[in-house]
Amino acid sequence: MITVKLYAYLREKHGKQVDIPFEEGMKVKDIVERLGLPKEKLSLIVAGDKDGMASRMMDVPLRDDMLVHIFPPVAGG
Amino acid sequence: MFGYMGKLLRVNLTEGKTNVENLDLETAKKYVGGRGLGTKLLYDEIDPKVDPLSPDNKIIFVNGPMSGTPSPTGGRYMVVTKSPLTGTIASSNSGGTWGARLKYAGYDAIIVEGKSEKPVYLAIDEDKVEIKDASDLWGEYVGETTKRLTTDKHTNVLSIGPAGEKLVKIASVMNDGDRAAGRSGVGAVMGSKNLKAIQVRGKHKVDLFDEEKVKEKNKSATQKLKDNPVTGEGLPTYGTAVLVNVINGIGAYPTRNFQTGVFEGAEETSGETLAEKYLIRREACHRCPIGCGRYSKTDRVEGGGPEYETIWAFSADCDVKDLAKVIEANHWCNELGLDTISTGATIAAAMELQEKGLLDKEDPDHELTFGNADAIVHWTKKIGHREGFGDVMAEGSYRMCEKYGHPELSMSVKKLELPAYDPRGVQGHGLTYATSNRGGCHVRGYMISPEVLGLPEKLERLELRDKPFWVKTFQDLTAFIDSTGLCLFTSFALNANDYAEIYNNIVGTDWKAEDALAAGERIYNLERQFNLEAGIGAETDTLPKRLLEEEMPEGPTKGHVHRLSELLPEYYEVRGWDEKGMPTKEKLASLGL
Ligand code: SF4
Repeated sequence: MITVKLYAYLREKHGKQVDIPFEEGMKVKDIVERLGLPKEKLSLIVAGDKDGMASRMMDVPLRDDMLVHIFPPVAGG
Repeated sequence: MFGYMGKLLRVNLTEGKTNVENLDLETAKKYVGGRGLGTKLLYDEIDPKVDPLSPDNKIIFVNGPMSGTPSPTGGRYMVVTKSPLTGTIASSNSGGTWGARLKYAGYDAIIVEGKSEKPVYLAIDEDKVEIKDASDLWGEYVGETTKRLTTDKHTNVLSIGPAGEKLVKIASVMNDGDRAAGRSGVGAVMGSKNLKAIQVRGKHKVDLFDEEKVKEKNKSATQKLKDNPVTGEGLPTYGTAVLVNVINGIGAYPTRNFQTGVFEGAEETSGETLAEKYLIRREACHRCPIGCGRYSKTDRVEGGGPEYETIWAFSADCDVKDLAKVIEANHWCNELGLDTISTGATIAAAMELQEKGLLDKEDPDHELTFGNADAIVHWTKKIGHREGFGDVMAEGSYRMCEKYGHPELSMSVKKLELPAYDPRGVQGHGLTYATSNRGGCHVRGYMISPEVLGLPEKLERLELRDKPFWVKTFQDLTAFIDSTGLCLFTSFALNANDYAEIYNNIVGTDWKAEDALAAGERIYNLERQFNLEAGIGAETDTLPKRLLEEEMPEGPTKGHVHRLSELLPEYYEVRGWDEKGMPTKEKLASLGL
């Protein structure tokens, strides 16, 4: 199972957390597509111990039991 | 004169005299205003070696040329003085409306010197300036002081709380009730002068060089801020606290006094939870289209905040998962006039001393344990009033840990407590901590932007390549923005060209982006010079031992330390400083210093 955590306004449609059954060969983009997340509205993605901007993370392979965090563009200070 | 009001108000509290002086326009333009002009005035007028809490120190409240103009976020001012916490230059920025009001009263800056015999406050109504008795305000909280001195809608109030009066070294200066010039203990300097508050009333306008162009640029800059997902949506909806989950997500969210970078209670204390459970409304500083401020309410307190840094200091750093208590601690910081970052971080350091059995048995009580939600409120009040062990904590985490023989447990740089990002997980950001002129600070070159948030472009947070160059550029640009009177948060959407254009339209200069950066570099070097003459040199450009030697134990930053020694020589080089971190003569000359 892949646990996907969503943040800020991404929660409005999908809630805080979605569990997606793991399939061999799965990549970050499969999750994004499965959830119908707007690619242009994604910013940081953390998948296990890898993180980066959404556009560079799409092909990162997933492992079973992985935790994935998906953020829209936000900032603070 | 455009952008500037052309007047400085000098207040000598020893003699009980006030005097209006002309602003030297050449100097003002060279140092822009705010942080830059304040530093120049302080550097020229005091010996950097003075005791910060003596009458010989001065405290300067200074505007930028854009404060009080229609520019988006044009309402910020700086408090510049020598810090009693760090011994370095202090320049603490704040929003609200007070800064703009000072312009409307006709002044670019107030220079306060000497020391009053009795508690006083300063009442400014345009040309009429009086030093008034504040005996009945002394000891009052910030909220009550603000209420009593706010006489009409053209009046704004800046004050200290009991913490500043009691010379707590982490005391803030507050304005408009809940906005803070928080860091470096600037509130204690006001307290040392027996100055409780500054009431300002005024209705002047700031003259603009080209009103039409100012209008046009305001329109396009405001549109940029609205269209940008961060300043147009993220910050307005969730405030700065939206970062809790982000920084925790990358495993760089300092927890239990930086013992780890992953906090179990992040979700319960996040910006999302704040919005869902406690947020009453959002608030905005003067002329700000972003409106990142929060106003929250629990069943015990209500008021401005909390910000990301505040939430972190009282929750993750103290391992507390109760957001209502964090809001309460924040409330007391505002009322007492305390820096929320340093207060939370000092409590966290005391908790670690206690955990390691390093505190005297008779000193603090059982409440100083990680995870104890009541402790954060309890000890905040004790610090603000300097009661019991709170008196030791009131000296800040470094002096407290030093007293117990373990200064290395203070997570600070130059004795200023570090904010909410573990440098082991953001290498460039760690370099800004180590080299910031006011000590451990995140808003002197916010490398989280490129290293985590991908703004303006994404850098690998754990890599070192090009980081010194980025840090220098961010530090210089920030020094310029801090000097204009605009809010640093605009830089998520605006760039150096935008700032130069806004400045030109208001002041009548013909600056390009590189001129703005050069002014920032000049200011940065002057601050460095002040510190060097104060006796604070390159040996303090470092980080707490834990961050340099102990690997992050878990999470996405696991196994990393901060690699400062690999970054620092290159940083000195790109700064044009020698290998000992001293600005070279040629460098200073090229900057006109
Ligand atoms: S962005 Fe936030 S801190 Fe900056 S001026 Fe606006 S409300 Fe104030």
